[in-house]
Amino acid sequence: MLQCSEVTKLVASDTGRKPPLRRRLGVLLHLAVCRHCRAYSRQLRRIGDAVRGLYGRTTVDPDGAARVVAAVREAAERGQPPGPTDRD
Amino acid sequence: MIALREPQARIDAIRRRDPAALEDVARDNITRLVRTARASGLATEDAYDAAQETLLVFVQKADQFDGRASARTWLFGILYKKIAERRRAFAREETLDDIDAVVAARFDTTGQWLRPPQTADAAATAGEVMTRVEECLEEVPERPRSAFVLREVEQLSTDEVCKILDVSANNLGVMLYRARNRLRECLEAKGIHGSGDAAV
Repeated sequence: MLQCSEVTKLVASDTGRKPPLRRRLGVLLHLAVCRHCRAYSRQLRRIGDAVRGLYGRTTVDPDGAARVVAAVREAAERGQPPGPTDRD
Repeated sequence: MIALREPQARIDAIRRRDPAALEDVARDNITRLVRTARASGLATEDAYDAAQETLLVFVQKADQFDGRASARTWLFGILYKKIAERRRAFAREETLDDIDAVVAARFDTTGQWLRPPQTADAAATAGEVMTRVEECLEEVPERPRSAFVLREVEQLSTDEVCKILDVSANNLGVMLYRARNRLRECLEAKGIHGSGDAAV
């Protein structure tokens, strides 16, 4: 059986990549019987949700975005290699 | 897994600095770039500046674009460096991250909880919770914060986040661990225990 310190470490360092079945089952089994680790893991999930809620709907101001896109276009056009008429 | 590669025609257009192709890259990515810069702790004006600088670096180096990573991955890699420069320039000195010790102190020598997470209901409105979350994000050092934002807000794949931050999957796990625990400890200290249905 995994210890609480091990389970919290696995839960908190989860990158989204599926861990090996054995480890996954170990964590699930532990969470089923340990309310503290369940609370911890729920809190981390909710923190992720909250930060996503905080910034996920960030929209860019269309004028600001248009200015950036125009600056990029201008730089790209300036950076073009000289056309045939510019060459000797 | 979502393909991280661009179609060859687009790679070629970017490499020869075709203005329309570069404009497309800017248009496709501006929202994500500004959002990530904001979530990483830059003020709105700074976030636009950082996004623009990022795209201009991309234009400058477009001829080196080899398509092995997508334009987005490349852009985020540049943005991440811009964010780091700004946060180092403007933000307070970041103290040594002692979150590992803070977490360790919660367990006894056999790995059992010594001080379990608090779960009593917090009397906070959704708005108050969001304010506390924003405050606590400020306490997360820059690298773990970037890792957390790319993974949880942008929801990029592990592979892509590792490429952007130039770290191994193991390192990414450590950064996420530090960000999540820092946030959890900070919120708990502010009385946000995530037990209610609406709260964190």
